[in-house]
Amino acid sequence: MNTMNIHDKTIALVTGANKGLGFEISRQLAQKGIEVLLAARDANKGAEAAEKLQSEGLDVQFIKLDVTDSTSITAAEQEIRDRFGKLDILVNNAGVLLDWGVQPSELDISTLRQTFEVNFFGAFNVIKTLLPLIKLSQAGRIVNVSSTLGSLGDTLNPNSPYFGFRGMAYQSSKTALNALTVQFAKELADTPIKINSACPGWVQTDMGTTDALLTVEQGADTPVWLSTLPADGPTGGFFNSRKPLAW
Amino acid sequence: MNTTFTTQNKVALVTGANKGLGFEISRQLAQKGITVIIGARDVSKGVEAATKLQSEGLTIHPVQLDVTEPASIEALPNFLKEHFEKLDILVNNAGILLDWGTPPSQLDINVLKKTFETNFFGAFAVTKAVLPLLRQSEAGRIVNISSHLGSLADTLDPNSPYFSFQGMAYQASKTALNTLTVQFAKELADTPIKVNSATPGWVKTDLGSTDAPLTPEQGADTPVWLATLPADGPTGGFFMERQPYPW
Repeated sequence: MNTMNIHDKTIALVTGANKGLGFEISRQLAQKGIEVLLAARDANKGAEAAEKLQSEGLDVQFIKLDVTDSTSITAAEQEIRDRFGKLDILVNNAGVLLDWGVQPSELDISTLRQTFEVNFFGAFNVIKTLLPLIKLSQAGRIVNVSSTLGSLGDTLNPNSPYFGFRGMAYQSSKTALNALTVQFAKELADTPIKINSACPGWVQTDMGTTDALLTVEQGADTPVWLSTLPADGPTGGFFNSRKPLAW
Repeated sequence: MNTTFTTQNKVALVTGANKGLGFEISRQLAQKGITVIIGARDVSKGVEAATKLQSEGLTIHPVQLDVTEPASIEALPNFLKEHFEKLDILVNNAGILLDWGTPPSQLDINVLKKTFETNFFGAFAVTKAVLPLLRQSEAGRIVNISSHLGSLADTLDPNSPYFSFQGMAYQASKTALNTLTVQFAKELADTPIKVNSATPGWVKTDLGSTDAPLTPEQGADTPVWLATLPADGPTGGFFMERQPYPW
Protein backbone atom coordinates (compact mmCIF):
# COMPACT_ATOMS: atom_id res chain seq x y z
CA MET A 1 0.00 0.00 0.00
CA ASN A 2 1.41 3.37 -1.00
CA THR A 3 0.54 5.62 1.91
CA MET A 4 1.57 8.82 0.14
CA ASN A 5 -1.16 8.38 -2.46
CA ILE A 6 -3.76 8.14 0.27
CA HIS A 7 -2.48 11.40 1.75
CA ASP A 8 -2.81 13.10 -1.62
CA LYS A 9 -6.52 12.49 -1.72
CA THR A 10 -8.88 15.13 -0.38
CA ILE A 11 -10.42 13.91 2.90
CA ALA A 12 -13.76 15.18 4.19
CA LEU A 13 -15.61 14.51 7.43
CA VAL A 14 -19.38 15.08 7.63
CA THR A 15 -21.07 14.88 11.05
CA GLY A 16 -24.58 13.52 11.57
CA ALA A 17 -24.28 11.91 8.16
CA ASN A 18 -26.15 8.60 8.42
CA LYS A 19 -29.32 10.14 6.97
CA GLY A 20 -30.93 13.25 5.59
CA LEU A 21 -28.85 16.22 4.55
CA GLY A 22 -25.56 14.92 5.96
CA PHE A 23 -25.95 11.68 3.98
CA GLU A 24 -26.58 13.59 0.77
CA ILE A 25 -23.68 16.00 1.38
CA SER A 26 -21.45 12.94 1.87
CA ARG A 27 -22.70 11.48 -1.42
CA GLN A 28 -22.14 14.67 -3.41
CA LEU A 29 -18.66 15.22 -1.97
CA ALA A 30 -17.73 11.60 -2.77
CA GLN A 31 -19.08 12.03 -6.29
CA LYS A 32 -16.41 14.73 -6.71
CA GLY A 33 -13.71 12.15 -5.96
CA ILE A 34 -13.33 13.13 -2.31
CA GLU A 35 -12.79 10.43 0.30
CA VAL A 36 -15.61 10.95 2.77
CA LEU A 37 -15.67 9.97 6.43
CA LEU A 38 -19.35 9.60 7.20
CA ALA A 39 -19.69 10.34 10.90
CA ALA A 40 -22.59 9.13 13.03
CA ARG A 41 -23.34 8.44 16.69
CA ASP A 42 -24.86 5.04 16.01
CA ALA A 43 -22.32 2.53 14.64
CA ASN A 44 -24.96 0.32 12.97
CA LYS A 45 -26.75 3.16 11.22
CA GLY A 46 -23.46 4.77 10.24
CA ALA A 47 -21.99 1.59 8.79
CA GLU A 48 -25.21 0.87 6.91
CA ALA A 49 -25.25 4.38 5.40
CA ALA A 50 -21.60 4.09 4.35
CA GLU A 51 -22.25 0.70 2.73
CA LYS A 52 -25.11 2.17 0.74
CA LEU A 53 -22.84 4.87 -0.71
CA GLN A 54 -20.05 2.34 -1.27
CA SER A 55 -22.52 0.28 -3.34
CA GLU A 56 -22.83 3.35 -5.57
CA GLY A 57 -19.06 3.06 -6.16
CA LEU A 58 -18.23 5.96 -3.83
CA ASP A 59 -15.23 6.21 -1.51
CA VAL A 60 -17.10 6.57 1.78
CA GLN A 61 -16.19 5.13 5.17
CA PHE A 62 -18.00 5.22 8.47
CA ILE A 63 -16.38 6.88 11.48
CA LYS A 64 -17.99 6.84 14.91
CA LEU A 65 -18.54 10.32 16.31
CA ASP A 66 -20.87 11.75 18.92
CA VAL A 67 -20.46 15.54 18.83
CA THR A 68 -21.67 15.86 22.44
CA ASP A 69 -18.91 13.56 23.72
CA SER A 70 -15.37 14.97 23.94
CA THR A 71 -13.87 11.49 24.25
CA SER A 72 -15.55 10.43 21.02
CA ILE A 73 -14.30 13.54 19.19
CA THR A 74 -10.74 13.01 20.44
CA ALA A 75 -10.85 9.36 19.33
CA ALA A 76 -12.02 10.39 15.84
CA GLU A 77 -9.21 12.95 15.65
CA GLN A 78 -6.66 10.26 16.53
CA GLU A 79 -8.11 7.87 13.93
CA ILE A 80 -7.97 10.50 11.17
CA ARG A 81 -4.44 11.50 12.19
CA ASP A 82 -3.24 7.89 12.10
CA ARG A 83 -4.90 7.01 8.80
CA PHE A 84 -4.64 10.22 6.76
CA GLY A 85 -2.39 12.65 8.63
CA LYS A 86 -4.68 15.56 7.79
CA LEU A 87 -8.26 16.66 7.20
CA ASP A 88 -9.26 18.87 4.27
CA ILE A 89 -12.98 19.40 4.74
CA LEU A 90 -15.16 19.44 7.86
CA VAL A 91 -18.93 19.76 7.53
CA ASN A 92 -20.61 20.40 10.87
CA ASN A 93 -23.99 19.04 9.90
CA ALA A 94 -25.13 17.26 13.09
CA GLY A 95 -28.06 19.18 14.49
CA VAL A 96 -31.34 18.80 16.34
CA LEU A 97 -34.63 20.67 16.14
CA LEU A 98 -36.58 19.95 19.31
CA ASP A 99 -38.85 22.98 19.72
CA TRP A 100 -40.68 23.49 16.42
CA GLY A 101 -43.92 25.32 17.23
CA VAL A 102 -42.96 26.04 20.85
CA GLN A 103 -43.29 29.65 22.05
CA PRO A 104 -40.23 31.03 23.91
CA SER A 105 -42.28 31.38 27.11
CA GLU A 106 -43.23 27.67 26.92
CA LEU A 107 -39.73 26.43 26.13
CA ASP A 108 -38.22 24.09 28.70
CA ILE A 109 -34.71 25.20 29.63
CA SER A 110 -33.50 21.58 29.38
CA THR A 111 -34.64 21.54 25.73
CA LEU A 112 -32.75 24.79 25.16
CA ARG A 113 -29.60 23.32 26.71
CA GLN A 114 -29.94 20.03 24.80
CA THR A 115 -30.26 21.94 21.52
CA PHE A 116 -27.13 23.96 22.25
CA GLU A 117 -25.21 20.82 23.26
CA VAL A 118 -25.49 19.44 19.73
CA ASN A 119 -25.93 22.47 17.47
CA PHE A 120 -23.47 24.86 19.10
CA PHE A 121 -21.19 23.39 21.79
CA GLY A 122 -20.86 20.19 19.73
CA ALA A 123 -19.90 22.07 16.58
CA PHE A 124 -17.40 24.16 18.55
CA ASN A 125 -15.78 21.11 20.12
CA VAL A 126 -15.49 19.30 16.78
CA ILE A 127 -13.89 22.32 15.10
CA LYS A 128 -11.50 22.97 17.96
CA THR A 129 -10.40 19.34 18.19
CA LEU A 130 -9.99 18.79 14.44
CA LEU A 131 -8.48 22.20 13.63
CA PRO A 132 -4.85 21.05 14.03
CA LEU A 133 -5.53 18.39 11.35
CA ILE A 134 -7.27 20.90 9.09
CA LYS A 135 -4.27 23.23 9.42
CA LEU A 136 -2.21 20.43 7.82
CA SER A 137 -4.36 20.64 4.67
CA GLN A 138 -3.37 22.82 1.73
CA ALA A 139 -6.93 24.10 1.40
CA GLY A 140 -8.91 23.50 4.58
CA ARG A 141 -12.64 24.16 4.41
CA ILE A 142 -15.09 24.22 7.31
CA VAL A 143 -18.83 24.42 6.66
CA ASN A 144 -21.29 24.97 9.49
CA VAL A 145 -24.77 23.89 8.47
CA SER A 146 -26.81 26.77 9.83
CA SER A 147 -30.31 27.92 8.90
CA THR A 148 -32.20 30.93 7.59
CA LEU A 149 -34.24 30.42 10.77
CA GLY A 150 -31.14 31.62 12.63
CA SER A 151 -31.04 34.88 10.68
CA LEU A 152 -32.12 37.79 12.89
CA GLY A 153 -32.86 39.85 9.80
CA ASP A 154 -35.09 37.14 8.35
CA THR A 155 -37.01 36.32 11.52
CA LEU A 156 -37.92 40.01 11.89
CA ASN A 157 -39.07 40.32 8.27
CA PRO A 158 -42.89 40.00 8.11
CA ASN A 159 -42.56 39.14 4.41
CA SER A 160 -40.33 36.13 5.07
CA PRO A 161 -42.05 32.76 4.52
CA TYR A 162 -40.50 31.75 7.87
CA PHE A 163 -41.81 34.76 9.85
CA GLY A 164 -44.39 32.60 11.64
CA PHE A 165 -41.89 29.88 12.59
CA ARG A 166 -41.52 29.29 16.34
CA GLY A 167 -38.48 27.48 17.72
CA MET A 168 -36.25 29.78 19.74
CA ALA A 169 -33.87 27.04 20.89
CA TYR A 170 -33.13 25.96 17.31
CA GLN A 171 -33.05 29.53 16.03
CA SER A 172 -30.72 30.91 18.70
CA SER A 173 -28.40 27.88 18.41
CA LYS A 174 -28.01 28.60 14.68
CA THR A 175 -27.45 32.33 15.30
CA ALA A 176 -24.76 31.40 17.83
CA LEU A 177 -23.28 28.96 15.29
CA ASN A 178 -22.99 31.86 12.85
CA ALA A 179 -21.03 33.79 15.51
CA LEU A 180 -18.70 30.80 15.71
CA THR A 181 -18.27 30.87 11.91
CA VAL A 182 -17.36 34.55 12.00
CA GLN A 183 -14.92 34.39 14.91
CA PHE A 184 -13.04 31.35 13.60
CA ALA A 185 -12.89 32.96 10.14
CA LYS A 186 -11.29 36.03 11.69
CA GLU A 187 -8.75 33.97 13.61
CA LEU A 188 -7.91 31.93 10.47
CA ALA A 189 -7.89 34.89 8.06
CA ASP A 190 -4.15 34.55 7.42
CA THR A 191 -4.37 30.81 6.66
CA PRO A 192 -5.75 28.98 3.57
CA ILE A 193 -8.68 27.77 5.71
CA LYS A 194 -12.14 29.07 4.82
CA ILE A 195 -15.07 28.75 7.18
CA ASN A 196 -18.63 29.58 6.24
CA SER A 197 -22.22 29.01 7.36
CA ALA A 198 -24.66 27.41 4.93
CA CYS A 199 -28.42 27.42 5.00
CA PRO A 200 -29.57 24.41 2.97
CA GLY A 201 -33.09 25.84 2.75
CA TRP A 202 -36.15 23.95 3.97
CA VAL A 203 -35.33 20.38 3.02
CA GLN A 204 -37.35 17.15 2.94
CA THR A 205 -35.68 15.23 5.79
CA ASP A 206 -36.81 13.80 9.13
CA MET A 207 -36.08 17.26 10.57
CA GLY A 208 -37.65 19.27 7.76
CA THR A 209 -40.66 16.94 7.29
CA THR A 210 -42.28 16.04 3.97
CA ASP A 211 -43.87 19.50 3.84
CA ALA A 212 -40.49 20.97 2.91
CA LEU A 213 -39.95 22.61 -0.45
CA LEU A 214 -36.54 21.24 -1.38
CA THR A 215 -35.16 17.77 -2.04
CA VAL A 216 -32.02 16.77 -0.13
CA GLU A 217 -30.16 16.91 -3.44
CA GLN A 218 -31.05 20.60 -3.75
CA GLY A 219 -30.33 21.28 -0.06
CA ALA A 220 -26.84 19.82 -0.26
CA ASP A 221 -25.80 22.15 -3.08
CA THR A 222 -24.70 25.19 -1.01
CA PRO A 223 -22.88 23.16 1.70
CA VAL A 224 -21.03 21.17 -0.99
CA TRP A 225 -20.16 24.36 -2.86
CA LEU A 226 -18.72 25.91 0.34
CA SER A 227 -16.82 22.67 1.09
CA THR A 228 -15.04 22.88 -2.24
CA LEU A 229 -14.49 26.63 -2.59
CA PRO A 230 -11.48 27.75 -4.61
CA ALA A 231 -8.64 29.69 -2.96
CA ASP A 232 -10.27 33.02 -3.82
CA GLY A 233 -13.65 32.03 -2.36
CA PRO A 234 -15.34 33.78 0.56
CA THR A 235 -14.78 33.15 4.27
CA GLY A 236 -16.77 34.20 7.35
CA GLY A 237 -20.02 34.33 5.37
CA PHE A 238 -23.58 32.97 5.56
CA PHE A 239 -25.05 31.57 2.34
CA ASN A 240 -28.29 30.20 0.96
CA SER A 241 -28.54 29.05 -2.67
CA ARG A 242 -24.90 30.19 -2.98
CA LYS A 243 -25.95 33.80 -2.19
CA PRO A 244 -25.13 35.83 0.97
CA LEU A 245 -27.85 35.86 3.63
CA ALA A 246 -28.55 38.59 6.21
CA TRP A 247 -27.27 37.82 9.73
CA MET B 1 -39.60 38.95 56.18
CA ASN B 2 -43.33 39.44 55.67
CA THR B 3 -43.30 43.07 54.73
CA THR B 4 -45.29 44.06 51.69
CA PHE B 5 -43.95 47.13 49.99
CA THR B 6 -47.18 47.89 48.20
CA THR B 7 -46.51 50.76 45.89
CA GLN B 8 -48.18 52.81 43.23
CA ASN B 9 -44.73 53.18 41.75
CA LYS B 10 -43.42 51.02 39.00
CA VAL B 11 -41.33 48.08 40.14
CA ALA B 12 -38.11 47.07 38.37
CA LEU B 13 -35.77 44.11 38.82
CA VAL B 14 -32.14 44.52 37.73
CA THR B 15 -29.96 41.40 37.79
CA GLY B 16 -26.25 41.53 38.65
CA ALA B 17 -26.85 44.95 40.18
CA ASN B 18 -24.55 45.19 43.18
CA LYS B 19 -21.87 46.96 41.14
CA GLY B 20 -20.89 48.41 37.78
CA LEU B 21 -23.49 48.96 35.11
CA GLY B 22 -26.33 47.16 36.94
CA PHE B 23 -25.78 49.33 40.01
CA GLU B 24 -25.91 52.50 37.92
CA ILE B 25 -29.01 51.35 35.97
CA SER B 26 -30.69 50.71 39.34
CA ARG B 27 -29.77 54.19 40.55
CA GLN B 28 -31.07 55.93 37.42
CA LEU B 29 -34.34 53.95 37.41
CA ALA B 30 -34.87 54.76 41.10
CA GLN B 31 -34.15 58.42 40.41
CA LYS B 32 -37.21 58.31 38.14
CA GLY B 33 -39.37 57.27 41.09
CA ILE B 34 -39.26 53.55 40.30
CA THR B 35 -38.97 50.99 43.09
CA VAL B 36 -35.89 48.98 42.18
CA ILE B 37 -35.01 45.48 43.32
CA ILE B 38 -31.34 44.76 42.87
CA GLY B 39 -30.46 41.15 42.29
CA ALA B 40 -27.05 39.97 43.50
CA ARG B 41 -25.52 36.53 43.90
CA ASP B 42 -23.83 37.55 47.13
CA VAL B 43 -26.53 38.72 49.52
CA SER B 44 -24.15 40.81 51.66
CA LYS B 45 -22.93 42.70 48.58
CA GLY B 46 -26.54 43.20 47.53
CA VAL B 47 -27.46 44.63 50.93
CA GLU B 48 -24.42 46.90 50.89
CA ALA B 49 -25.27 48.23 47.43
CA ALA B 50 -28.92 48.76 48.41
CA THR B 51 -27.89 50.61 51.57
CA LYS B 52 -25.69 52.93 49.53
CA LEU B 53 -28.50 53.83 47.13
CA GLN B 54 -31.03 54.11 49.98
CA SER B 55 -28.71 56.69 51.57
CA GLU B 56 -29.20 58.76 48.41
CA GLY B 57 -32.93 58.75 49.19
CA LEU B 58 -33.80 56.08 46.61
CA THR B 59 -36.29 53.21 46.99
CA ILE B 60 -34.14 50.11 46.62
CA HIS B 61 -34.51 46.53 47.87
CA PRO B 62 -31.91 43.78 47.57
CA VAL B 63 -32.70 40.18 46.62
CA GLN B 64 -30.38 37.20 46.54
CA LEU B 65 -30.40 36.05 42.92
CA ASP B 66 -28.00 33.75 41.11
CA VAL B 67 -29.22 33.51 37.50
CA THR B 68 -27.44 30.15 37.12
CA GLU B 69 -29.22 28.60 40.13
CA PRO B 70 -32.65 27.09 39.35
CA ALA B 71 -33.72 27.29 43.02
CA SER B 72 -32.81 30.95 43.18
CA ILE B 73 -34.87 31.69 40.07
CA GLU B 74 -37.83 29.56 41.16
CA ALA B 75 -38.07 31.59 44.37
CA LEU B 76 -38.19 34.86 42.46
CA PRO B 77 -41.85 35.06 41.33
CA ASN B 78 -43.17 34.38 44.84
CA PHE B 79 -40.76 36.87 46.37
CA LEU B 80 -41.95 39.56 43.96
CA LYS B 81 -45.64 38.71 44.50
CA GLU B 82 -45.35 38.65 48.29
CA HIS B 83 -43.42 41.86 48.72
CA PHE B 84 -44.27 44.00 45.70
CA GLU B 85 -47.37 42.39 44.18
CA LYS B 86 -46.12 43.10 40.66
CA LEU B 87 -43.23 43.63 38.28
CA ASP B 88 -43.10 46.22 35.50
CA ILE B 89 -39.48 46.19 34.35
CA LEU B 90 -36.87 43.45 34.03
CA VAL B 91 -33.29 44.34 33.17
CA ASN B 92 -31.22 41.23 32.40
CA ASN B 93 -27.87 42.78 33.23
CA ALA B 94 -26.00 39.90 34.92
CA GLY B 95 -23.20 38.90 32.60
CA ILE B 96 -19.63 37.64 32.56
CA LEU B 97 -16.69 38.11 30.20
CA LEU B 98 -14.17 35.31 30.74
CA ASP B 99 -12.33 35.05 27.42
CA TRP B 100 -11.11 38.54 26.55
CA GLY B 101 -8.08 38.11 24.28
CA THR B 102 -8.57 34.36 23.75
CA PRO B 103 -8.64 33.18 20.10
CA PRO B 104 -11.51 30.74 19.39
CA SER B 105 -9.10 27.84 18.85
CA GLN B 106 -7.68 28.33 22.36
CA LEU B 107 -11.05 28.66 24.07
CA ASP B 108 -11.81 26.00 26.69
CA ILE B 109 -15.26 24.52 26.09
CA ASN B 110 -15.95 24.79 29.83
CA VAL B 111 -15.37 28.55 29.65
CA LEU B 112 -17.73 28.70 26.66
CA LYS B 113 -20.43 26.80 28.56
CA LYS B 114 -19.94 28.82 31.74
CA THR B 115 -20.32 32.06 29.79
CA PHE B 116 -23.56 30.84 28.22
CA GLU B 117 -24.87 29.71 31.62
CA THR B 118 -24.92 33.28 32.90
CA ASN B 119 -25.25 35.43 29.78
CA PHE B 120 -27.79 33.34 27.85
CA PHE B 121 -29.41 30.46 29.76
CA GLY B 122 -29.56 32.64 32.89
CA ALA B 123 -31.27 35.51 31.08
CA PHE B 124 -33.72 33.06 29.51
CA ALA B 125 -34.54 31.44 32.87
CA VAL B 126 -35.16 34.76 34.62
CA THR B 127 -37.27 36.09 31.75
CA LYS B 128 -39.39 32.96 31.63
CA ALA B 129 -39.84 32.96 35.43
CA VAL B 130 -41.08 36.54 35.76
CA LEU B 131 -42.98 36.80 32.47
CA PRO B 132 -46.36 35.95 34.06
CA LEU B 133 -45.89 38.96 36.39
CA LEU B 134 -44.80 41.24 33.55
CA ARG B 135 -47.93 40.24 31.63
CA GLN B 136 -49.99 41.70 34.49
CA SER B 137 -48.22 45.04 34.18
CA GLU B 138 -49.83 47.76 32.11
CA ALA B 139 -46.50 48.51 30.47
CA GLY B 140 -44.08 45.63 30.89
CA ARG B 141 -40.53 46.24 29.68
CA ILE B 142 -37.69 43.76 29.28
CA VAL B 143 -34.17 44.98 28.56
CA ASN B 144 -31.41 42.51 27.75
CA ILE B 145 -27.94 43.95 28.27
CA SER B 146 -26.20 42.81 25.13
CA SER B 147 -23.06 44.22 23.55
CA HIS B 148 -21.87 45.70 20.30
CA LEU B 149 -19.31 42.87 20.53
CA GLY B 150 -22.23 40.51 19.84
CA SER B 151 -23.06 42.25 16.56
CA LEU B 152 -22.05 40.00 13.67
CA ALA B 153 -22.02 42.97 11.32
CA ASP B 154 -19.78 44.99 13.63
CA THR B 155 -17.28 42.21 14.28
CA LEU B 156 -16.86 41.76 10.50
CA ASP B 157 -16.34 45.49 9.89
CA PRO B 158 -12.59 46.21 9.60
CA ASN B 159 -13.35 49.87 10.39
CA SER B 160 -14.99 49.05 13.71
CA PRO B 161 -12.87 50.01 16.74
CA TYR B 162 -13.76 46.55 18.10
CA PHE B 163 -12.71 44.60 14.98
CA SER B 164 -9.66 43.08 16.68
CA PHE B 165 -11.50 42.14 19.89
CA GLN B 166 -11.26 38.42 20.58
CA GLY B 167 -13.66 36.74 22.98
CA MET B 168 -15.87 34.32 21.11
CA ALA B 169 -17.65 32.97 24.19
CA TYR B 170 -18.77 36.45 25.25
CA GLN B 171 -19.53 37.54 21.70
CA ALA B 172 -21.57 34.45 20.76
CA SER B 173 -23.49 34.60 24.07
CA LYS B 174 -24.53 38.18 23.32
CA THR B 175 -25.49 37.30 19.73
CA ALA B 176 -27.62 34.48 21.15
CA LEU B 177 -29.11 36.90 23.70
CA ASN B 178 -30.19 39.12 20.81
CA THR B 179 -32.06 36.14 19.37
CA LEU B 180 -33.85 35.76 22.70
CA THR B 181 -34.83 39.43 22.50
CA VAL B 182 -36.25 39.01 19.02
CA GLN B 183 -38.15 35.78 19.64
CA PHE B 184 -39.75 36.96 22.90
CA ALA B 185 -40.66 40.26 21.21
CA LYS B 186 -42.41 38.32 18.45
CA GLU B 187 -44.30 36.16 20.92
CA LEU B 188 -45.33 39.23 22.93
CA ALA B 189 -46.12 41.45 19.93
CA ASP B 190 -49.84 41.56 20.79
CA THR B 191 -49.21 42.54 24.42
CA PRO B 192 -48.04 45.88 25.91
CA ILE B 193 -44.69 44.24 26.73
CA LYS B 194 -41.63 45.50 24.88
CA VAL B 195 -38.41 43.51 24.70
CA ASN B 196 -35.18 45.08 23.48
CA SER B 197 -31.42 44.56 23.56
CA ALA B 198 -29.15 47.39 24.65
CA THR B 199 -25.45 47.80 24.22
CA PRO B 200 -24.24 50.21 26.86
CA GLY B 201 -21.04 50.83 24.90
CA TRP B 202 -17.60 50.19 26.38
CA VAL B 203 -18.00 51.17 30.01
CA LYS B 204 -15.54 51.66 32.88
CA THR B 205 -16.54 48.73 35.11
CA ASP B 206 -14.80 45.61 36.42
CA LEU B 207 -15.90 43.93 33.15
CA GLY B 208 -14.95 46.82 30.85
CA SER B 209 -11.70 47.77 32.65
CA THR B 210 -10.46 51.30 33.28
CA ASP B 211 -9.44 51.60 29.61
CA ALA B 212 -13.09 52.07 28.62
CA PRO B 213 -14.14 55.46 27.26
CA LEU B 214 -17.58 55.68 28.91
CA THR B 215 -18.61 56.20 32.52
CA PRO B 216 -21.30 53.91 33.99
CA GLU B 217 -23.59 56.97 34.03
CA GLN B 218 -23.25 57.25 30.24
CA GLY B 219 -23.50 53.47 29.74
CA ALA B 220 -26.75 53.24 31.69
CA ASP B 221 -28.53 55.76 29.47
CA THR B 222 -29.73 53.41 26.70
CA PRO B 223 -30.78 50.58 29.04
CA VAL B 224 -32.73 53.04 31.23
CA TRP B 225 -34.34 54.59 28.15
CA LEU B 226 -35.45 51.13 26.94
CA ALA B 227 -36.69 50.22 30.43
CA THR B 228 -38.99 53.23 30.43
CA LEU B 229 -40.13 53.34 26.80
CA PRO B 230 -43.54 54.86 26.09
CA ALA B 231 -46.34 52.72 24.63
CA ASP B 232 -45.36 53.67 21.07
CA GLY B 233 -41.70 52.75 21.58
CA PRO B 234 -39.87 50.01 19.67
CA THR B 235 -39.74 46.30 20.48
CA GLY B 236 -37.50 43.51 19.23
CA GLY B 237 -34.65 45.92 18.57
CA PHE B 238 -30.95 46.32 19.36
CA PHE B 239 -29.83 49.80 20.42
CA MET B 240 -26.70 51.78 21.18
CA GLU B 241 -26.93 55.44 22.24
CA ARG B 242 -30.70 55.14 21.67
CA GLN B 243 -30.10 54.34 17.97
CA PRO B 244 -30.64 51.00 16.19
CA TYR B 245 -27.51 48.90 15.93
CA PRO B 246 -26.93 46.22 13.24
CA TRP B 247 -27.32 42.56 14.26
